[in-house]
Amino acid sequence: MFKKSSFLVLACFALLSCGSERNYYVLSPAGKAPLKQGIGLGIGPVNMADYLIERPYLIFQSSPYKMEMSDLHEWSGDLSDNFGRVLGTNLGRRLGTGNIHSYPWNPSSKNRYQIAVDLNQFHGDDQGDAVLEASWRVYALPGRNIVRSHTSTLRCPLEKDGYESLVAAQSKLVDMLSAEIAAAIR
Amino acid sequence: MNDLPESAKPEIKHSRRLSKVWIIPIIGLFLGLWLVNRTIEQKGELITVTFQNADGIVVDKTEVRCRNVRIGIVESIDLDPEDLTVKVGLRIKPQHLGLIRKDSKLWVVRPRVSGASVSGLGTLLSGSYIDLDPGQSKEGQSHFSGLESPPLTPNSVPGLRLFLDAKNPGSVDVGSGIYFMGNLVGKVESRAFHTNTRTTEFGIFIEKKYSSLVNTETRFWRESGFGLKLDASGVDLEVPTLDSLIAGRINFGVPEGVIEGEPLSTKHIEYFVLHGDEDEANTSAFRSSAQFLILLDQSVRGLEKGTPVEFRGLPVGRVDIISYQLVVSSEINSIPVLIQLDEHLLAKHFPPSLRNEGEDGLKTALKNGLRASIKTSNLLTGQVYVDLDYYPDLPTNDVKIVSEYVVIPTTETGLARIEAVIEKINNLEIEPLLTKFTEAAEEASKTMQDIQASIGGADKVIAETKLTMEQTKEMMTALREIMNDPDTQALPAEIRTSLAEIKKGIQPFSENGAVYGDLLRTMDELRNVSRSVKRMTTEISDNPNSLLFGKDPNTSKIPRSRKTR
Repeated sequence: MFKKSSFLVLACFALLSCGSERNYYVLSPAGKAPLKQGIGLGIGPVNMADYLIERPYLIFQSSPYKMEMSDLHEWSGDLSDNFGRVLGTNLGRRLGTGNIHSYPWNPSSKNRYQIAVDLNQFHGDDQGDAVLEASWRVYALPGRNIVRSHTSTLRCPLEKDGYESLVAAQSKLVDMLSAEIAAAIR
Repeated sequence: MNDLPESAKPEIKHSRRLSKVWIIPIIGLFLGLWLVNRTIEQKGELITVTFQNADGIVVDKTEVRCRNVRIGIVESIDLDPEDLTVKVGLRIKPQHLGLIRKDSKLWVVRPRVSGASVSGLGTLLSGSYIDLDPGQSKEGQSHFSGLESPPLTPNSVPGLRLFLDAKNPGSVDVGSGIYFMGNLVGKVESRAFHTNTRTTEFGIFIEKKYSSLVNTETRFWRESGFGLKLDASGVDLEVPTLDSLIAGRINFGVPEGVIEGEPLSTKHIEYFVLHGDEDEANTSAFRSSAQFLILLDQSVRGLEKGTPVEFRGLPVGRVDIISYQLVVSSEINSIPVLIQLDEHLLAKHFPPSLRNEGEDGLKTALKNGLRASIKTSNLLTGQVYVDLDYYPDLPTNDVKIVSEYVVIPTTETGLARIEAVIEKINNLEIEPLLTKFTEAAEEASKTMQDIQASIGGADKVIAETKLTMEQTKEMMTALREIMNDPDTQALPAEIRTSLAEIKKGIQPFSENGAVYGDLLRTMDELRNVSRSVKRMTTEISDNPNSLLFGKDPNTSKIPRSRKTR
């Protein structure tokens, strides 16, 4: 009797745990950064709004005041780290440099510019777009003088339904942001 | 024809034996008796157990088990009207009566979830049962008081049972693990607070195969929580395992440098002290082999009981007492500091031939210029240590005894030395020298004017010039003497070395230094750790059952593109 019931419990657990597969996503750069050395760029710190880092899940709006997320669709790893690195690669491609360092870098890396980003919004909205709002500052090193300080608000429509196209649109947004920052450095 | 042959007469014999039919009731009777006897035997004996409550116990249903084998059943449940305890009658099968002994333990197995463990989950569906740990006594007993919680390790399991006294129990509690070099070897079984000694006593159990790890020199200590150590060699962050944060953890071992003690079986030691952390456990190993007095003319700021004493960097002892009361005589103005040398540490670093020289050895050492000095080990925190070293250039000393203690002479080094150098500069009589020099220069120029003014009184002028020149010469000699003074010459070199030392000390903390980089990375890791903990707590507060059943997938909504809207 006991044996039977324990099998039943096991079966219940098995049913619960194998519901659906979990999916993991990363942002991807629009292309490779050049291998050659160039001006040193230090990317970071990337500060994210609390709602983006509290949970590892992908987030989208279902109404202007309501966020949706699913346990089965997670960012793979730390989003702010991923964001910073993809931004760096995109910037490197646009400025022709492979000399990119993520924050915190070693002082011996002799960066010419530091790009600090405050990410205020980065999600799918209820209109079918991915949105990004970021305040960014470009500093000239080693003096740390501000070259440009600006807030960008960018949108990019989703190609089709689903989480994967949301991440594709968000990756595109990072590239669009890197275009604005690259223009400030050039 | 009348006569019938005798054999034809019916001979009626009355059979004395019972009819064969009677066999059946007799067999029946025997069977009946045997069955009655069997039932009586089968019924076994009744024992009573007192519990605080009868939660989950049902008459004729709840079983009594030993090692999960059914040995009896609950026959009655009664409430004692006086102290409101529950008396449970247990009918034990006769063949298992031998298991009911004087030191047997009985408790109710119910599902239990505590910080340290989850147990009895099987009873969720099968219902509770009463478990028996037979014990080892030879005598029997028929009345027991039941335990409210299961004993963690049954008495019958062989192993080492010890008691640990703790001033501060921290997060250690019943169920905490006992670890030896990171391996789980035992558990904390009981906890009691003694009001008279104000200590908490833990009963611990160590499995038999590991019991040889404990010897008379073993120290027990609590696993400390988060630890951040910052020193000249870098940043050291200690993050304990999650279970030790929640359930507490006890480590044990023999402190480094201490020779393993004798096995416990020879000494019958049952009580050990539970130290707050590893450092405390290690310092408790201190065994003084010699005491020396050092008399310091400089500030003892930073020096405290326990400050290490090192010989050329090797730790050999610690500071014991800093007090003017050590010295009775009022002649001594220096601050007396009593240092102790540790037997274990000396044994670790020096061969016996060097250690057992007695007073002669000390004499030779003092002749060779053995001096004690206070040195700074960390410029940022101002940590100091007492350094013993040979200074052959300094004047030698004889063995001096002050208030029963042998005195090791001191010398000033490090910052105290820089201070002394600055003092020397202050004391140099430069000003009168300068005045004299100016006077001389003025006189010389006056003389020149005089020469220019009157070439007539040449003799007088020449005499005056001669005088002035002589005076100047005298002054130059005096100046040279000062310059040649080895003290003066040593000044710039000494200042330079001192500055270099300071620079070297600060280097790791600069932007390019190892400590700075380490600190950045450590802070980053700390941030990640705190974020993960935050995520976990969010997850648990969102979905408390996710701990047991995994996450409940929520797939109803997906982000939609413009086209499908």
